[in-house]
Formats: sequence, C-alpha cells, structure tokens
Amino acid sequence: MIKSKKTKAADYFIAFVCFLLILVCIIPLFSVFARSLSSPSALMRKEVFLWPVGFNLDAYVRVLSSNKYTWSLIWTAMLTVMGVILSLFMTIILAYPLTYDNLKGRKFFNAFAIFTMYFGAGTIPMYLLLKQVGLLNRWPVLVIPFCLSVFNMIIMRSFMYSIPESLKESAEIDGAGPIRILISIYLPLCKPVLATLSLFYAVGRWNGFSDALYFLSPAQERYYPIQLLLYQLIQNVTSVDPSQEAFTQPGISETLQMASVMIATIPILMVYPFLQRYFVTGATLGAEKG
Amino acid sequence: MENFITKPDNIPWSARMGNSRLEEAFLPQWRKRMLCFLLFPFIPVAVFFILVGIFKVPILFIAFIIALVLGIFGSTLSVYLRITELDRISVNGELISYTGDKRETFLYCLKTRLLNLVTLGIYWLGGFDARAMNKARYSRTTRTDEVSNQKRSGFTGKILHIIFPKLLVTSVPIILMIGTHLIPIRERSELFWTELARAGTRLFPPNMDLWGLTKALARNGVSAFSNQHYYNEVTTLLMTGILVFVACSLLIPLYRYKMLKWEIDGTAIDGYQLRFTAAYNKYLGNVYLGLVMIYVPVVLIITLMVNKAKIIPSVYHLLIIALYILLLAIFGFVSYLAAKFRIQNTEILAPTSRQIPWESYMVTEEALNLSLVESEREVFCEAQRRKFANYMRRHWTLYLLLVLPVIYLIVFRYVPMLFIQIGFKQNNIVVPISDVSWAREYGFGWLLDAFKTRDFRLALRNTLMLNGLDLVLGFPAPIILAILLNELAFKKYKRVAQTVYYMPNFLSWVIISSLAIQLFNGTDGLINQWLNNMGSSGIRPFEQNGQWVAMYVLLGIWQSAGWGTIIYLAAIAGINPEYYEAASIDGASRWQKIWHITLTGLRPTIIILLIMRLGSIVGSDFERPFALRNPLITEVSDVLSIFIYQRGIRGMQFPLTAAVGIFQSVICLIFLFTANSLAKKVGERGVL
Repeated sequence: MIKSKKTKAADYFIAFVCFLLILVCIIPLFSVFARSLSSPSALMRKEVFLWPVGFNLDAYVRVLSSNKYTWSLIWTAMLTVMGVILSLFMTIILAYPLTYDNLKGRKFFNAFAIFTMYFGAGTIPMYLLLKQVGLLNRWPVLVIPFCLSVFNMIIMRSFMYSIPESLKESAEIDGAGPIRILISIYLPLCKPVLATLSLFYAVGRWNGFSDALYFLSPAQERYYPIQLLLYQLIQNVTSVDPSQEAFTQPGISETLQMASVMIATIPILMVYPFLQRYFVTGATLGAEKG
Repeated sequence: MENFITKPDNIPWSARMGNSRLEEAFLPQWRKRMLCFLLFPFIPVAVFFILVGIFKVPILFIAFIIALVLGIFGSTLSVYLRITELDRISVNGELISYTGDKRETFLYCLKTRLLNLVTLGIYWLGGFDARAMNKARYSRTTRTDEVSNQKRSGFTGKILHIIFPKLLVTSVPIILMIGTHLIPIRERSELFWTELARAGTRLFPPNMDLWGLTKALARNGVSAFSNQHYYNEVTTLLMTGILVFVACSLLIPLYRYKMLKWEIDGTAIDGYQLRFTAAYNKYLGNVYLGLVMIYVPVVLIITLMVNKAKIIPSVYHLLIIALYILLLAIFGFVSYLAAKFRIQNTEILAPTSRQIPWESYMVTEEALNLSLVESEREVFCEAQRRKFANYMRRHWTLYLLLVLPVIYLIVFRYVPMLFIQIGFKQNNIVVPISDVSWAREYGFGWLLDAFKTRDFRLALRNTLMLNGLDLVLGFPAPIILAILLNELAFKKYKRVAQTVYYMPNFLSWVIISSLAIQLFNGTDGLINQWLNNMGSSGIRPFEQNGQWVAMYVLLGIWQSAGWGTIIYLAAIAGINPEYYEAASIDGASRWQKIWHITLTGLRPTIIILLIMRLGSIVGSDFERPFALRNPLITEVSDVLSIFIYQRGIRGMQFPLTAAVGIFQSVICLIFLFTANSLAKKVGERGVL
C-alpha cells in the first residue's frame, strides 16, 4: 500500500489526539498521587500541581498504621476473595448445564435466569427480604445476595459454547460423566474467561459500597468495605481513626485522604493490565446475544 | 362376563401384534389421560388455595364453593371417563369396551369422590382451629392467647391439647381411606367392582388418598406454623405425617396386590396379571415413599426456619402452598410417567414356555384381556422408556448442578418480587402483608402520593435529565474513541493507549469523586489553581447546579468511554478488510471509509447497545450520583435511587419507595420492549 504524505500527517495528528486523551486519563490520578506524596505545608501553600513538593511518605505510614483503615483493607480483601470464589462457583454451575443443547428444560432455565436481568424487584423488596431471612446487618449480606450475576453467566456460557462439541463427545465416549467433563476438560479450557470473570467480580466487590450502605447499619461499621470508609472520609463524616485527629486538620488531612485513596486504588491498577488480554474477550462475549 | 365382547382364540397373540395397529389403539388415549389428569380436582383446589393465600377475604367463600363443586364434578367425571372411555382398546382388531350401566358407574364414582372429600374436609377442619387462633392473635386478644398457652404447656397439656387432637384428626381419615379401598374387595364378585379395581390401578392407582393426605399435611403445616404458639406442634404433626405416609405407601400397594390376587385367585394364568401388578405396585410404592421422604423434611426445615426468623407468615403461606402444589404436580407427573412406563416391569412370558389348556383362558377371560392389553402397551413403551432412562442416567448430574443456582435465583431474585405488593397495600407492619387491604386508588395510592411530593418529582426529573444527557453525550463517546483508535497507525502505541483508556473503568465512584474534588474544588482544586493563575475566577462544579451536571456527565464519559470501546473495537475487527481495500482502490478518503464502512459495520452493535441504554433510561445508578453529590446541589443530584435510599432505607417509608421502585422497573421494561420492537421493525436484530 502506498501512503501519501497527507495521510501520514493525519496519522500523527490522530496519535497526538490519542496522547492528549491518555493525559486526560492519567493526570487526575497522577495529581492525587503527587499530593499524597507532598508535604502538608506545600499543599497549604497551593504549590503542588503534578509533581510532589516536599517529598515524603508520612501520609502512607500514618494511614497504614491506622488500625481501622488496615483492618478495612484486609476485610475487603477477604470479602473479595470469598465473593469471587462463591460467584465463580455459582456462575460455573449455572452456565455449564445450559451448554447442553439436549438438556430437557434448558430453555426454561435459561429464561428463568435471564428474566431476572431485565426485571428486578428493586431495593426495598430486597431490603425486606433480607430483613426477613435475618441477613440484614450481618456481614454475609455483602457476599451472598449478589453472588451471581446473570450477565456474567451469559459471558461464561458463550465462552463454553465456543469450546468444540467434539471434545465433549469424545470424553463421553470414554465414559466421562458431565461433572468429570466439566472438571477435566471445560475448566482448564475456560481459564481465560475465569480470569475475566474473577476480575469483574473482584472489581465489583472491591469498588462497591452501596450494598453495605443499604444493608449494614452504622453499628456494623467494622464490616464496612474500604470504599464506604473512604466515602465517609472524603465527606468528612468520620476520621479513619478516632485517635488520629490529623484526619480532620487541613493540609494534613488532605494528604492522608489522598494516601488512603491511592492505597485503595493501587491493587486494582496493579492487576488489570495483566488481565487485559482476557477481559477484552470477556467483555466482547457479553455483548453477544443473551 | 357378557359385558365384554372378546374371543381370545388365537394364541399366542403377542406374535400377532403389529406396531401400527397398536399405535392406532394406543395413542388417542394419552390425550384422554391428560384430560383426566386436568379434570382431577387438584387444579380447582390449587387455584382456590392460591386465591385464599393471596386475598384471604370472605368473598372467596363463594370461590371455594365453586372450586368444591368443580372439584367433585371434575374428579367424578375423570374417574368416570377413565372407566368408560379410556380403557377401550382394540385387541386383534376387535374393540373391547366397557359396557356397564353408565348411571351406576357414575354414581359409584361420585360416591368414592365424596368419601375422598370427607377425608380432606376433616383435615381442613383440623387446620381451621389453628387459623382461628392465628386470627385471635392478630386482633390482640392476648389474654385468650395466654390462657391457651397455659393450657398447652406441660407434658399432659401438650398431650391433651396438641398431640391427641392431631392424632385423632390424623387417624380418622386413615380409617376412612382404608374403608374406601376395602369396598371393591368386599364386592369383588361383581364385574363392575372388578372393573373399577382394574381402572383404579390404571392411572392414579393407590395414590388417590395419598394426595389428599399430602395436601392435608401441608395445610396443617401451614396453619400451624403461621401461629407461632404451635411451634412444637408442627414437629409432632410432621412426625405423624411421616408415619402416615410411610404406612400408606407400604400398605396400599399391598391391598391392591391382595385384591387383584383374589380376583384371579385359583385361575391365575401363568402370572401375567400378578407379575405386572406386584412389580408395578412395588415400584410406585417406592416412588411415593421417596418423594414423601424428601417433601416432609423440606416442609419441616422451612417451617422451623420461618418460625425462627419470624417471617411474615402470609408470604411464606404462599411459598409453602406453591411448594406443595408443585410437589403435587410432581406426584401427578410421576404417577403419569409411572403409568406410562410401568409395564416394563412385567416380563412378557411367551405362552409357549408353558402350555396352558385353553379352558383356563375361558375361565379368566377378563383377566386375560387385562394382561393382553398391558403386554401390548409394554412393547410400545419399551423403546421410549429406555430412551428416557438413558437420558436421565446421563444427565441427572446436570440437574444436580442447577439446583443451587435455581434456589439462589428463587430466593434472591423471585421472592423479593412477592414483596412488591407492599407498594400497593396499606401501611401496616403488624399484620402479615397478604392480610393487609389494598391501598387507596385501587392500590396506586402510594405512587400517587409520591407524585404529589416535590422530592419525587425532582428525582424523576433529575433521573431523566442525567440519563438523557448521558445518552446524548455519553453514548457516542466510545464509538468516536473506538474509531479514533482504529485509525491509529502505530500498533504498539495503540495497545498502550487502550490499556490507559480502560483504567478509569476500574476506579470506584468514591475514588473518582475524590479525584474530582482534587481537580475541581473551589479553592485549591488543580483546575482552579491553574485558572486563578491565568487570572480567571475559576469554576464551582460542587456549588452550582449547572456546572455539577456538566461535571457528572463528563466524569461518566471519562469513566466508561474507554471501556465501551472494547465492544466496538471487536465489532470493527469483524469487518471484512476487503471492504477497506476496495474502497482505497476506488479512491475513498479516510472520512468516506469511516462513514461508509466502519460506521455501517458497527450499526448492529450500536443498535443493541442503544436498546440496552434505553432500557435503563429511568433506571438509576446509585453509586455515581451518591458519591458525587453534596448538600449544596441536591436539587439536581438526587435521582430516584437516592430518593429510594433516603425515604425507604433511612426513612423507613417502605410502601412509598417500593411503589417508586416498581414504577421504575416497569417503565424500564416498557422502554426496553419498545426500543427492541422498534429496532426489529427497522430490520435490526434486537436483544430479546
């Protein structure tokens, strides 16, 4: 292909626009990062733009030495692990039988699941239900009620569909039952989609706070996930640690807030670029017909 | 004997049966069997239970009477049909049909049905006691309650007031039931009764009264647990129930077996009849036993759970009733299948294996017809049965896997839908929700109330406004970005750019909100510092309504545009590159290629995503506005989800907010369907 000089100029222009957009994506986070590393006095003097002024790690040390914050981090990590395991398990055992075309009642189960995607009862009925079954104001409420996402199930199912039927058939001829086929053939082949869904579920759990806000009372504060704690911190509802007055002092409070935000963000930012290859396929599968 | 026209003079008949003729004789009957099944009284009774469970108003007494009459009539007709019509079958080209007196037959059917009903009625009466107690409790006649509690406490009190009455109530129907089954035995000499016994073993053989018992047990279970003073009693009752069921499951087939043995006793031919009956009854007996063993613990567990968690009884009334109606249906289905497949348990014994003098057939002509018919069916069903068994043997684990997710979906997705009714009922938290009468304006009072409040109207307006802006400005953003990325010539750079663009999607709204504060804050935000340095007064998005809306929409684009490109990029990758090459050869410019090839190729994807977006036009994200809002700009930031959170969960105004929630869901559904059908009309694929 012969390219004229004009199109090349256009290419550079597009590259430049993309570069600007990259800056737009990065700068906000970077400025927070810079502020979290700056000294409080520099912040007070409004000197910090994109580069830390008076570089120090005080804020990080103070945040991580706060019991409440570190506990919340550990707790959210525990919740995330529990949630991901449970969710993956449920997703697999719902999606796998639905890949059997000759399963009697497959259409029914399919419709049964997908209907809930388009029509939900709403928050209040859910609240009343959780109250009735005694989950309200208990920590399992953060794991159990939302452990299965039908949308993710569809992604899983679409992926399983793409596995050649002949593999299943040959295993059947060798005498393997459905569960054996699932464990020995399907799960190893599903690693990409398992990675994707783990990421989706983990991000959802790590970033979510509305369920805790809805279903946990302030008396259950020790079970608040990290995001809700951050929310309260940013809204100046509470300080991270009652003993640390610094969280409410101007300047210092800001660096501490920024450090808290960065600490809560970094785990996900560390993970997602490595899973990009997988979640791109996952997100594409989800857009296919439900 | 003269009731039948048949001459089994050509033996062995099994050798002479052609399949096509068999099907001719056999197939139309399945329809009749299904009709009998439908006519059976359980459907009207089930409808009645559901209605009572939902409304519990006296006007349904009429419905009850209607259901009763329908039930009696229907079941009588079903038995009658079974005797007169269903068992007509052709053998050796000759039609064997029932020729007994029609009136007499009908009367007999009616009699057995009424007897059945009496057994049921007694059970219901047993349940009414508990229901009356229940009512008394809710009308706060606590004194009576205390007295009755005292009477019921203690060992003797328990025996006298709880166990004994229930045992009485349980034993009477058993006696009656056995009586019903004894009748044909006593009068077995008459052909009519024998014929009836034959018919009885056909479709719903020994289970007639078991069904009644099942219902009665569940009925008692329901009424007992709805009153929490009956806590222990439930256990007693269920234990009795288990015993009764086990006994019945074992005894009734035995009775049947004995009865049929008597019929053919002395003249039995080579065990045709007996073999089939015995095997069949054993089979069914086991099936029922198994089902009952599952059913009873389930009811027990639910009951105890309910008592412990103090669940609103009525909702679980519905659940339990639904559960046992479901189980009844399963019973029916199993018995239907059993009737269909039972014959496999009979071995076809070739008559040649043992020569029988012709006279013996003459004597047991009627019994012979029976076995003849059964073995015919056996041949026919064999293939089907084997297919089904094979299927189940291969697939049962799949159903096992589905159990847990289905339970999850029922409990956490479908049961909340039962609570929707709270939005249409008066506000009353003392009485179970199904007992509460409808709210004003035919139940829509709460919704109308909501429309009267300024908060709700504002929330609705904000929801529509923010979602509308998101749609207009936010929806095209990923498309444009995807096209931009696609046009990017440097592959490695493209990959890096993509990775960066995906990043904001992984940030929670709390974190984005803190970023926004850092950027746009009035005094020390990054943008304002910069603007101040330039000499401008800066922007105030956290203080001014209009600027906040702009920030909300922009942050939405910032967060999701990069992520949204994934789908579009995949769709672009699916476009045939030959189109682009052909266009370049034809001298198309970059813009023309984007417009005519890329965008055209993206059209189906765009439409699908647009439908999904329209489907959530009044649905509202909670975390995004909640994290970004502050007290200064609530006039534009408070959307429906925040309204529901504040009024419902914080303000405890459950009926009002439930009504708003369901309004939201229904509107969303309507939008989704409309958008979908519009898309289909224009010729696109749609999502549903």
